[in-house]
Amino acid sequence: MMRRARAWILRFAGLLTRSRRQGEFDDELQGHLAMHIDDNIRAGMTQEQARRDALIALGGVESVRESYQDRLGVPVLASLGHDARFAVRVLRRSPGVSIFAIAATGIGIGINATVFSLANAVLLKPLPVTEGDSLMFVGTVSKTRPGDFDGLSWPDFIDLGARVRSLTSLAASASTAADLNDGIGFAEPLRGEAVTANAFSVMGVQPVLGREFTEADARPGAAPVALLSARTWKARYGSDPSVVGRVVRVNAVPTTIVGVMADAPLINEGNTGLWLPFQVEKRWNDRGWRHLSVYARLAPGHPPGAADAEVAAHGAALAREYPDTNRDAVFVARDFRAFSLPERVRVLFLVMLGAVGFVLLVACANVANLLLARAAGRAREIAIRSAIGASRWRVIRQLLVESLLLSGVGGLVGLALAIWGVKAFDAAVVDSERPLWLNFSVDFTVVAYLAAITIGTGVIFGLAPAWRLSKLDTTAALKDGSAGGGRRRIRLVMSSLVIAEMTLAVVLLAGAGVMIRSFLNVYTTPVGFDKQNLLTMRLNTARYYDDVEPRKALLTKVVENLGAIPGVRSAAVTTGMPAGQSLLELPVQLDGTTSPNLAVSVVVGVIGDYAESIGAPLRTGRLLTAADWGNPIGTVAVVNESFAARAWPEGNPLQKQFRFVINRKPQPWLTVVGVVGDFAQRERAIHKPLAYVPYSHLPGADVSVVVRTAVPPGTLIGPVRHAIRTLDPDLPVIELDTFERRFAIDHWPARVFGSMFALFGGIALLLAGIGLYGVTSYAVSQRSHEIGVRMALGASSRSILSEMLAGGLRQALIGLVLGLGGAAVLTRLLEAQLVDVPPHDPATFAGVAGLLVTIAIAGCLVPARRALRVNPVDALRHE
Amino acid sequence: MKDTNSKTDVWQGTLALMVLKTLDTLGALHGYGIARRIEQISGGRFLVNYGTIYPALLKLEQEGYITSEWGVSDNNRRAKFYRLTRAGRGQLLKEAREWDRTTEIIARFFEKESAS
Repeated sequence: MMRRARAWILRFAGLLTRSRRQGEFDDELQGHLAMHIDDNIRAGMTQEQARRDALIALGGVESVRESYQDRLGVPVLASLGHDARFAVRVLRRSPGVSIFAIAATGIGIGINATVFSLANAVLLKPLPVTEGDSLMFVGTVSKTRPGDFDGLSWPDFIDLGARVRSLTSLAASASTAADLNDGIGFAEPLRGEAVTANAFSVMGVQPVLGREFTEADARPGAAPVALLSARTWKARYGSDPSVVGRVVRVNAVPTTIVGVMADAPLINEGNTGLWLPFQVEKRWNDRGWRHLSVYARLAPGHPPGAADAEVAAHGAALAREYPDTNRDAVFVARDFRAFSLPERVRVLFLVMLGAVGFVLLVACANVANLLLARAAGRAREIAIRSAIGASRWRVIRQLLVESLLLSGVGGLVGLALAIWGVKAFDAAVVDSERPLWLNFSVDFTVVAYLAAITIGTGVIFGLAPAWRLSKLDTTAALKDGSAGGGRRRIRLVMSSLVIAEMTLAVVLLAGAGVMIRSFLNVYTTPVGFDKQNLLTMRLNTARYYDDVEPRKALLTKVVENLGAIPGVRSAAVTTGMPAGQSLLELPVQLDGTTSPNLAVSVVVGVIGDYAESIGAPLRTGRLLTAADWGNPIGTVAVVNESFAARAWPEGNPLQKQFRFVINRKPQPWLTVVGVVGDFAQRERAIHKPLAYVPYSHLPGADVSVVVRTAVPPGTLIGPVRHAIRTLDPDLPVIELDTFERRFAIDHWPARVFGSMFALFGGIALLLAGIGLYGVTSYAVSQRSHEIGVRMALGASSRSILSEMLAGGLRQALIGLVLGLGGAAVLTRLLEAQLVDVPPHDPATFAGVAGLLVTIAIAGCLVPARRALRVNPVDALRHE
Repeated sequence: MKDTNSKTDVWQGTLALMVLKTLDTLGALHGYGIARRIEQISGGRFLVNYGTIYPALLKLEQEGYITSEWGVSDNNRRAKFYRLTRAGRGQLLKEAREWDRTTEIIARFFEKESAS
C-alpha cells in the first residue's frame, strides 16, 4: 500500500518533470538500440539488417515511448491535457463552427439554468425557517369543490388543538386591516396579522427589538399593543430603535409598539406589516367561518403522513358532531409547499423546465449535426491517428474532449446568461407582490445543475460524431479522405436529428403560441370600457364609519371633491370594481315568479356616475342619479345587458321589477330604469348578469373609487390622495394607481410566462432552421459531384432545385406531424394558464405549421440554390 | 497490452519478478541486458518486445525496489544501469516465497486431479 502510494506521488510529481525525464528516456532508448545493433553486427548482420532487427525487437519506438510516458505521469491526466490542447487547436481552426456551437449550447444551457433557478426557488429550496421539515399547515378542503385550501374556524381550531396528539402547539393567525397613523405623514394601510402568542415560536422567528406577545396581551381589556414587522420598521421608520414604546394609532385605536419582529416569510406570504395580538371577536364563534391560518410543529416521532391522517380523523369526528357546518369539510395537515402552492403553479414550472429541456435538446441536435458534418471532413486525420496506433477509445476520447470543451465554454456563457436571466425575471415579477419566501437566485444547486447539464450536453452532442469516426474504415479513409461507405448512414442520422429538432420546435412553438394568444387576449380583447385615463383606488371604511349614514355622507363627499379636481371628468364609488372587490352574488327573484329563478346575479352599490366614470355605454333608459343614491331604500336599479337578456329574454326590461333574496329573506322590490352594456368584471369575456343599485340599498364598507380623467391619470395621483386625506386623515387610500397598471399587475403571469415561452419557441425554431440549413448544405456539398454530372448531362436546374427542396421539406413535414402530436399533449398541460384559448387552438397550430414550413423552405433554399451554381467541370474534377 | 485487466496484471507482476531476480543474479545491469537475459531464460517465449521492459523498470523504480544511474556498458555505450535496493531484495524474497507457495499448491492440486 505504502509502495503504491509512493509510486502515485512520484507519478504526479512526474507530471512536472516530464519533459526532462522523457529526454532521459530517449537517451536510454538510444543506448539500448546502439547496444543491440552492436550485438547484431557482431552476430554477422549488415548495418542495415542490424538496425532493422533491433527496432523490430524493441517493438516500435513510438509505442514504447508512449507507454513509458503513461507510466511516467498519470496517463489519463497527461493525455487529457494533451487532448485538451489538441482540441483547442482543432476548434480554433474552424472558429465559425466553434462559435456557433458555443453560442447554441450557451443559450440552451443558460435558459435551462435560468428556469431551473426559478423552479428551484419555487419547488426545491429549503424554506427560510428553522427546521422547516417539521412545520405543518393545517386547513380544510371542501368535499364538493376540491381545490385550494381553506383555513380553520375558531371553534374547530380550539377543538382540534385539544384533541390532536401528533402536532404540538397549534398556532393561528388571522389577516386583518391595520391602518397605521403615527402623526408622521399619512395613514398607511398595512397588512395586519393577528397571531396567537405561540405563533412566533412555532414559526421560529424572534423579535429584533423589544418583546413578543404574551398571553396577557390577548385578554379582553388588555392595553392595545402591536409589533412592527422588520420591513415596516425599515421602510417607515428607517430602522429607528426609539419606536419601541411609542404610542401610535392602529385602526384609530391608540396602541403601544412593543417591539419589532423579524420577517416571517411563511405567514401571509411575508407581507405582514404589523402584528397584533389575537383577540377573539364574537363573530368568530361561527364554526363555518374558516378564516384562520393554522400551523404547528410535528410532535417528535410523528411523520407528516401520520399527522395528516390524525387531523383528518378529528375532522371527520367534528363533521359528525357539527354536521351543519362541517359536513363538507375535510381536514388536512400538509407541509408548506403542498399547502400553499396551487397544483397549476407546480405544473407550470415543470412544463417550463420541460420546455427549456427541449430547447437544449434542439441545440444539442444542432451541434451534433454540425460536428457530424465536420467529422466527415476529418476522416483522414482520424484514420491517420488510428493507423499509427491510437486505440478506438483514444479516438472517442479525443472527440469527447473536443465536445466537452465546447460545452464547457458554452456552460460558462450559460452561467452568465442565467445570472442575468434570473435578475431579469425577478425584475419582471417585482410588481406582482411575489411571496417573500420566494428568493430567485443562482445558488449552489443551480450551479451544480448547470455543471451537470453542461457535461451531459457535451457528451450527448459529442457521442454521435465520436461513434461515427471511431468506426472508420481506415484504409478507405486514407485512400480518398472520405468517411468510407457510411455516407448514406451519416445523412440518415443527420436527417433524423433534424426531424427531432423540428418536432421539438413545433411542440415549443405551439405551447408558446397558445400562451401568447392568452396574453394577447388579456390585453387586446375589449373589457367593455376604456382602460386608459382611469384611476382607481380602494377605501376600507369599516373601522371608521360603522353606521351607514356617516359612511354614505363621507363617500358622497369623496365623489364631489374628486369631481372638483381639475382634469377629472367624473368620479364614482362602487362596491364592486373590475379586478377589485370580490363581488356579492345573490339570487334574484323576478316579478311574477314565486322563488329566486336567476341563480347568480352580481350586485353593485354605487354613488356617482359609475357607469359613466367607468365608461359602460347606456343602452336604454337612464342611469342612476343623485336623487336615487339619496333614497334611503333603493327602489330603482340599472342592469347590464346580460341581466336583461337572462331575466327578460323577450320584451322590454324597463319598468320590470325584481328583488334580491338574502339568507332566504326577500329584499325590497327594485324597478329597472336603465340598461347598460356588459363589461368584464373579473374574468374577461365572461359577462355575468349585473345589477347596479343605489349605494343605500347595498352599503358595503369596502368600496372602490373610480376616477375618469381628461388628462394622463398618473398626474392626478397626488391631488386625489390629497383630496381624500383632507376629508379624513385616518382613512387609508389603498392601491391608488392607474387602472392600466393595476391591470398589468393582475395579469403578470400571462405577460411574463407568455413572453418566456415565446422566447423558448423562437430560439428553438431558429436553431431548427439553422439545423435544416446545415444538413441541406451538407447534402449539397456531398452530392456536388452527382449534381455536376447530372447538369452536364442536361438536367434542368428546376428539377435539381425541387429535389433538394423536397428532401428538406420531407424532414420538416415529418417533424411537423410528430410535433403537432406532442404539442397536443403539452398544451393540455398548460390549460389552466390559458385565457379564452382552447388548448388545441386550430389557429395557433396552423400558424405554427405555416411558420415551420416557411423556415424550412428558407433553410433549404439557400443551399439548394448553391447546388445550381455548381460548375459541372469543377465538380467532376474535384472528386 | 490489449488484454483483459487481470491477465495484464499477472503478466506485469511476473515480468517485475523476473526483473528483480535478474538484477539479484547479475547485479547492476542496463535495460537491454535485462531484456536479453529474460529472453534467453524464457527461450524467447516470454518477452516479445524488448520495449515493454522499460515501463516495468520505471514502475519498480517508482515503487523504490530498484534505483538507476548512468554508466558505460562493456562496449562503451552510455546506458542507464539498474540495481536492486534493500526494499527490492526484500520484495524479491517475499515474492519468491509467494511464488513457491502458489506453485506448490497448484502442483498439489493438479497431482490430485490426475491421481483420481
